[in-house]
Amino acid sequence: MLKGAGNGDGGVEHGELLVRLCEAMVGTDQQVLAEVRDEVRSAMGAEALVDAVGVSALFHLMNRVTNGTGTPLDPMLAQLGPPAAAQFGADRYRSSNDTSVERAEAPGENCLG
Amino acid sequence: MTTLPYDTPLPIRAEIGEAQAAAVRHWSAPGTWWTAAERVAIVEEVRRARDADELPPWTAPSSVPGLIGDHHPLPAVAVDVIWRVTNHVTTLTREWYGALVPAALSAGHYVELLSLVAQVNMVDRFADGLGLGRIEVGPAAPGEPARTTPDGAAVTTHWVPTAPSAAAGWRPTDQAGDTGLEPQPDVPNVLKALSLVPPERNIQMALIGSHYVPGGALSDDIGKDVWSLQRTQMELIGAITSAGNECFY
Repeated sequence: MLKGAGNGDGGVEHGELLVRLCEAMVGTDQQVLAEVRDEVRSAMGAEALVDAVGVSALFHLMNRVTNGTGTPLDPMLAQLGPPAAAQFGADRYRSSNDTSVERAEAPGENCLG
Repeated sequence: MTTLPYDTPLPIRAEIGEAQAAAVRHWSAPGTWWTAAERVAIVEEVRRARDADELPPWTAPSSVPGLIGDHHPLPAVAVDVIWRVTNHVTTLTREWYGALVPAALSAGHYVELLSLVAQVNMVDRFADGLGLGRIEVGPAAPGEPARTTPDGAAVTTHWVPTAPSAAAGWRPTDQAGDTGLEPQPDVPNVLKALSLVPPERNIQMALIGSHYVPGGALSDDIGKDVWSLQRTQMELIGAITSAGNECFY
């Protein structure tokens, strides 16, 4: 279980299953990945499996870009504040030391990464 | 009509297949700073790193006897960056970056290298996640690197230099000149990160639009479905993947 991932669906349909899919994609155990892939396909369908794997794969790109470029937080993310970061355990990430907050007074923005 | 890069009965959307096919073509083309042959070597090295027995983050693969051949087409520092970004994305720090750029790599070389490594990780994890074979990278295409830098590029908000960006298509201004738009200051920072090397940012945008939310309208449709998923499911997937990679952003 990833740090701070918690238990249950978190109010998201098939949330627990999607969490396990993402954990398997971060890891290297192909057997675990194959098992959870079959579960997702059975529960959500093949199209949702493809799209879920696609979103997770995209975030593997985005996480490398943001961690590798020192991308500062946008105001909308910064407004979530320390409690949200602490809830996820994100305040303990190495990247939290190097992720500044930029333009906190600007209007709310989209976020990705 | 583009031939999809996967031979599978799985219902892979055309948008996904076409964006990944474009990315793979881009990998073997001359870059802005790296040659086509070097870019193909970068792709191959990402795959070698991903499939290798893991090294600790403090061990540079170039320092391990016999791990990197004497005639490797990439400089040792590039190989070390590839392994670090691929296998230890949680350990990238400003200090690490500062030791690399500009002493060992130019900022342009670094941004292009980081982008390629991130793209290959993405496309390969998609294939691995679905139990499919990875897309083969083609032979190096002819041509020379462009060796150009966007007007106005400077270190302002990120560790790396970034270029002013325009809202339309969220492309760097040097590629959005026909839009008639003024540079917009409120482009999300993650979408500025690769703006020093515009072709890399353009591929990033194509991959975002095809795999996540089309058009980048991210904050105003949280209650809607996108493709076959609910937005809340998408955001959960993004949050959990980012937690696994310890991405604070």
